[in-house]
Amino acid sequence: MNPPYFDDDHAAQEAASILLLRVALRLLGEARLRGDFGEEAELAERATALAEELTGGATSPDPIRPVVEVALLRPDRISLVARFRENSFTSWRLMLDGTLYDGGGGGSVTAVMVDPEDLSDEERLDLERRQAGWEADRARLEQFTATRFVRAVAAPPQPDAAVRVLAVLLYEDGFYVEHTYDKEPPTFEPEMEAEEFFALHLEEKPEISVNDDVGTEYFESGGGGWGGGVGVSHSSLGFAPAPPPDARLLRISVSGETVELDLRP
Amino acid sequence: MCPVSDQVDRRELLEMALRPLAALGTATEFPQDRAGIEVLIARLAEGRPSEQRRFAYEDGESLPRYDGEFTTWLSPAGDDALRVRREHPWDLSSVAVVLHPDGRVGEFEEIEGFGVPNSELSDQARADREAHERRAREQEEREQEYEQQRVESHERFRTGNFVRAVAAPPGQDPSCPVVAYLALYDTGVMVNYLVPRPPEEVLDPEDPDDPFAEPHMEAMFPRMEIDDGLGTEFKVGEIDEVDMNSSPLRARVSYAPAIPVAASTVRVVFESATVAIDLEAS
Repeated sequence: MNPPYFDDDHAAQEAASILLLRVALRLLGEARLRGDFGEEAELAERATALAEELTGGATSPDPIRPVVEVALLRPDRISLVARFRENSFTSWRLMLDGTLYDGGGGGSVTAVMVDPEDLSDEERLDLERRQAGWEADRARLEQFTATRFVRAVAAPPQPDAAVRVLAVLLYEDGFYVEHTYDKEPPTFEPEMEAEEFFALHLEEKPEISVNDDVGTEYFESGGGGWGGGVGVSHSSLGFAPAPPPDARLLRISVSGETVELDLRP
Repeated sequence: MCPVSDQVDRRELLEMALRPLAALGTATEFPQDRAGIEVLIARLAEGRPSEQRRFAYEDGESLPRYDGEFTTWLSPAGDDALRVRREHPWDLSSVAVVLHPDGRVGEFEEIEGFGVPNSELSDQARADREAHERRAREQEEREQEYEQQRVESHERFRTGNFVRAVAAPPGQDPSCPVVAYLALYDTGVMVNYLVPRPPEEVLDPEDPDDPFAEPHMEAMFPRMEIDDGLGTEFKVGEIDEVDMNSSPLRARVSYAPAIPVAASTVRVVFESATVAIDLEAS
């Protein structure tokens, strides 16, 4: 049984990898005699010719990119990219001694530029409003830089809480709330489509809010991290600003439970 | 067989074929005898660290070998070419291809088992098959043990086992690793710490001399040990990159067994700093 991502897309990716490796073998067969991969322009031209020969002149699955692209990194190293869908590729880097490294794959996004002059007044106003909102959100998100760590404060026990606050990491300009909760291990259903699988296993993250005894307004900032293992999450969520010096209690509410941390050193 | 698995097997075979081709250097033909092929194997690049890297000679006329080591077998193919065969020890099958000195490869050849009826198996082939069956039996016998280890590892740090967190002392030297807090469990302990972030040109060089170096991992997980003063031997369970984008970096390492109740202090020992955490202070 294969997990859902082992589908047609994976087969297409493997086929592209095989084509990429056939091109790599041919280029290596020539480079080893010379002692290097040659000039960049000739290399790219040769790769195109080889891909055409090996595919029988098939058109690229990506309308704006050739089926295989090769670039020179150093005289003894090249990078190879093969396309298997529009905006999807598989890639490797190859050394002259036959070692492959930095293999990967992924997709790219094609953006469409719209000239604001082409928008109606209403559309332009809407765009400006949204841009102002994004700028404000970004400024809040970037306020907590997490560059100067001050100290950690351990949370008191919360034996009945589903989400346990472990500690708070205080920095000069914000803090992380470290917390943990159990989750169910993912299950694989053979008939499930990839979208269904990821929708089903999209982790619902607990909502966390913070206040203190001097009325500071805290907001999410600085991002966070969701780690842990198969059956448990160990996570952190950033907030700004840092608690002021006169704050003595930090109250953290998660899923209806509130825990108080004593901030006094 | 699953078509995707076939493609994976073929792709992995071609990945392996690159190295004997490179090891040929400026020679115009592949050696066609055992001594020459063994010299070629001795010249092979190591490959990437995660790669199965065993190569061996076979004569190409005897029945295929299966030694259970994911071996890539090289044999003379005539016309200056080399036959490259990769075994799949879990199902006693292999895939092969003929590799020419200019990098051309022929059609893939899929081989089920030894390619002949059981009555025609050689002594070596029977021995390889018996060893394969023995490995499969041992694997099955260990399945329950593996399952138990898997469950234990998944459940070790679930919330039901959590006891309490203990903050590390403030004022640690920020140019060294800084311990933030310990999370104590009935089943182990997690050390949460920060480390200075190396410069970007160290962490993410454009084209590193050693492409297999892992500067992020080296920075996030310096050598460290924990000491409870009672002589308990702790083993590392998991390492976790909490935040590899931050500066300082944040990381976590878990250990088992649990810190004994009798312990009053835990010392986290790095090469450049030692942090003592008083378990009775909070």
